[in-house]
Amino acid sequence: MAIGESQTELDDGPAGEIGDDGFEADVGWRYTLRKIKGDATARFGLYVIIVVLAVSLVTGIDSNLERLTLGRYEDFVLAEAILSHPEHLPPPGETERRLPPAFAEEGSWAHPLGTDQNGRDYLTRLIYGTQVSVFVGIVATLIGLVGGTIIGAISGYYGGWVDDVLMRAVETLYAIPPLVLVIVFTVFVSGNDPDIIYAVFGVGIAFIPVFARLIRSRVLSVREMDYVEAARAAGVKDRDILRRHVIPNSFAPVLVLATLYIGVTILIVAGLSFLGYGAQPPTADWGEMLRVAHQYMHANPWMSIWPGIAILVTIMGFNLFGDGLQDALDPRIK
Amino acid sequence: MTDTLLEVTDLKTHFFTERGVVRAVDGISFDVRPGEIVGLVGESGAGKSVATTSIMRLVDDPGQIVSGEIEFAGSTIVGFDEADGELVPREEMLSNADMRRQIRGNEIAIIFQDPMESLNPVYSVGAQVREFIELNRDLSGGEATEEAIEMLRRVGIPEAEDRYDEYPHQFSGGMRQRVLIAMALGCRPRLIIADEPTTALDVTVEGQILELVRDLQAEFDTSFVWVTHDMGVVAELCDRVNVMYLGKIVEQGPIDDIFYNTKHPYTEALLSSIPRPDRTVAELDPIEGTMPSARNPPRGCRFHPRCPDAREACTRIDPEFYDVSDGAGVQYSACIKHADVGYWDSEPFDGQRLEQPP
Amino acid sequence: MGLLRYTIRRLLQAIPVMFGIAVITFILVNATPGDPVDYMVAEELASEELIAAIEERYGLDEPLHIRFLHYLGFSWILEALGVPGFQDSPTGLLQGDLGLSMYYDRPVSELMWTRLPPTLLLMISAFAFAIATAVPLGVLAARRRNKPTDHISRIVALVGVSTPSFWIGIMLIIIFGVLLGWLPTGRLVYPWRPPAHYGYTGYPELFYQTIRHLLLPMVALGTLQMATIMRVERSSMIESFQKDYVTLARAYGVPERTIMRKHAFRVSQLPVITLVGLNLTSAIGGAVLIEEVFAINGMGRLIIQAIGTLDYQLVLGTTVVIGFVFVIGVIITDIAYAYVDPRVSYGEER
Repeated sequence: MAIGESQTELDDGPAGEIGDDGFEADVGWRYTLRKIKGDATARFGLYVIIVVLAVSLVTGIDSNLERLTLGRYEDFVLAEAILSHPEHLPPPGETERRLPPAFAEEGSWAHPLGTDQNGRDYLTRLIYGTQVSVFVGIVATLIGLVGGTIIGAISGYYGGWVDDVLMRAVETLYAIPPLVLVIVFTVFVSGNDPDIIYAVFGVGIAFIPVFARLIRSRVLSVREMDYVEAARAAGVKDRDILRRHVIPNSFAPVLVLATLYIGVTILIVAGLSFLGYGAQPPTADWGEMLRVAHQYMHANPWMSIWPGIAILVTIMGFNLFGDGLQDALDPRIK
Repeated sequence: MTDTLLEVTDLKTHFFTERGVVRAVDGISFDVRPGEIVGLVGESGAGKSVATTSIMRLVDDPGQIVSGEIEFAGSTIVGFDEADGELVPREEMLSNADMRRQIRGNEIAIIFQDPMESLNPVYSVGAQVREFIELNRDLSGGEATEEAIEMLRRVGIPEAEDRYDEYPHQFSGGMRQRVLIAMALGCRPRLIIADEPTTALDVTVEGQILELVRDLQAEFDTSFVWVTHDMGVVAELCDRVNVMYLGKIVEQGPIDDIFYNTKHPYTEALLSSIPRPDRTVAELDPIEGTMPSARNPPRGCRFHPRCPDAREACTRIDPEFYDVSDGAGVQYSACIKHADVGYWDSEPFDGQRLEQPP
Repeated sequence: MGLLRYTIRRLLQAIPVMFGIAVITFILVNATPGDPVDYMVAEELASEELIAAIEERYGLDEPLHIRFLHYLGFSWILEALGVPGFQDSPTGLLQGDLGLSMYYDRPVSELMWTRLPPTLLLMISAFAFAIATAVPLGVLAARRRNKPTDHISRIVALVGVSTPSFWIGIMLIIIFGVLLGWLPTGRLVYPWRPPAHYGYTGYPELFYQTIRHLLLPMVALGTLQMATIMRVERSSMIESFQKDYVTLARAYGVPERTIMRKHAFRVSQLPVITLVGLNLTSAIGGAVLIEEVFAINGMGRLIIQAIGTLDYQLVLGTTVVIGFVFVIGVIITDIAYAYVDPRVSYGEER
């Protein structure tokens, strides 16, 4: 009998099979997918994310994206709303802050969630706000991810003083509260003329340390592997080694982190908008809507509820899915 | 025959996992007499640790003691009665509270394998020893402290009184193991279960610990169940030995008989696989293959896929515990060679070497 | 004694760190473009003399390296030591002078005295709230793993982590302040002011009102911390349960309650303490938002204002002060960690 082989020609019976005990691989994409399918909360999170993405696309992408990236809007919400639903035009000369229907008087189903301080339909603004949040969340996280990957990979791979310098810089960046960092960045770069795009870049930069540290630790562990040494000995360029061996190996935890950080980004940008350093009016953004709602707290408490719920649900979706992803990729005690 | 201190009869402990039932301990029987050191030998995965935790009734979900009996000094630790075709825990079985108060620590103490992990890093060593002594003996706090210091001294820790206040990370591996021994002996139990206590230590330290245990055992007259995978340790220390394989005991007997009058192929294989200084690497005789999972043990004799003496009959017949005593002591073997079930008539299995009938 | 030595060592280490903060902040603030004078007067319209006067008043007319020495307070020391070339040197950091705020036209340190305490009060109470609720809940969830109590607590933690703190603040104000009228809707009452300042009859009422005003902002700021701490507490306790020394304690007959309280609990706090230390930075961001929501005149609002108005000295001063506070906070958590984990202060292995 060869070593390791413990089979016999015997078949069946609970005590009959040797070797094969129904063992299935514990790694790989298929396993991950299976685990997620089995995890109800993770699935729920995924559904929420899909719903949010769908809502963000409902109003069409191009014109908004253009405006988002090029700067300010001019009353686009009002214009779009009027164009698509003329009945939403507020009565001339009257700006009403209404209450939702059925819960309160003065409400009507024409404006299911009421109107804002300028008479614009709240639900519509909420929907448009989804776009901003999704855009910001994805782009900022991507910036952090890419920037962090580059820095982390270089730092981990080359080591030495490069590593020291980069890591000190990264740690200093990490020590600054993200909110403050982004505000400073915005003021610095825009000349005190804030807009959403600076928020996006600012947050992205603020998140570089997180990704950098993760990638660096993965690089450090992969670097010592034999196949990397072999590749080096064979003359493969460092750049290619990084690209082809190191980075694919780090993919899984990065994915988890990115998912979770999309949620964090939305949270931070909401806070920035609340302070006036994020999306500028008349852009519809949940944080911005809350900023205004805060002023009308006593007069119209309803305005404060809906954007907050939107933020809550969205982030919860990302958190649930991210957690599920984490459990699937690195099973720990639940 | 002297009174047995611990008597384990047909113990079965199974783990009910998502992937199936793991029959970690599948019907073992052995006993321990007062003042003797009984060895429990086997490879990793044989079920030794599960057996010891079962004795202490510390088996946790998803594990469960399914059947069998464990008697200790007249008390029933584990016992089942049959009621309507099902096994029901016996009434006289000690309750959990009784186990905790009477048995654990007082009567039976346990020493774990990993001295690094067995001590709580945030409390001083002395405090930990004292706590257990105070709990398990009728001593006041101050008396327990003194006793703890005394035990630390006895196990060979220098400047015991000072080191009482030090923390585990300030002790080396060997020292930590001595602390664990001090803990165990300090509670004056009648039985100590030592679960591979020297496996994590290097050979010289191991030698010291073994010597220490022998001295202390003689002094305190404690019985030991010594779990190990090292036949050499067994030879040095034990009075009687149980050889375990995949949840069952395959051979049992006095130490000399096991070594010089081996009656089971597995024991033989274990003994011949020990590297010796007078043999080269090429002459090493390892046991082929690895131990299969206890979820789907081989049919028939569990060892047959790796057994050099396996025959066709071994694939069918599940051996019992046959009495093969022919020396001074009682010896058992679970190999059908010693039974009259047709081993010698059946064909060799997979072209293994044949053994001539006696 | 190891702990005391460790504490002293950390405090001494803090000095170069704080110095570094002061230096870096100075460099960064002075590297930003934008002309602060512009904020006070429209430069094109103002006369030369006016601009010169403003510059002189705020020390902007001197070269950078001189400003640096003034800022640190070195020039004052040098003057006191009789080094030539330093006359009429202004005071600086080492003398406790943080400069003059341009926007407020008051010394920055004076502003600090009024603005820092509210923020500290808010942050400390928020952390206290978070720890006081999260630790017991986390332990409970760990004990009742996978039972209803556990599931509920995990949902609570999830919501806590996913909800913006400022929204929680707004909703709390709406529910408890506007709709129910039980609690005040903003501002804080400070227990270090005399009761008469607020028109209260005495200290008991002062403290009572302090708490009343603190309740909502404390919960709003503390919720996120509570959620994160609870999660870590739970997983840390669960991990402890699997440890050998816990099993050993059980094997020696230690009652379950004692195991929970003594053997598992203490060790589990280590990751929690680390987490609190890490959370300090994000808490500052949270404080900014909460101060805005509750109209509290604290450091958070001050910083944002200072940045927005390019008030150099104020930005400098507030950043340095916050940096110092942060360093102290880190040291406190480090000491707490060392208190629990003897390996830190008694580092020698034998």
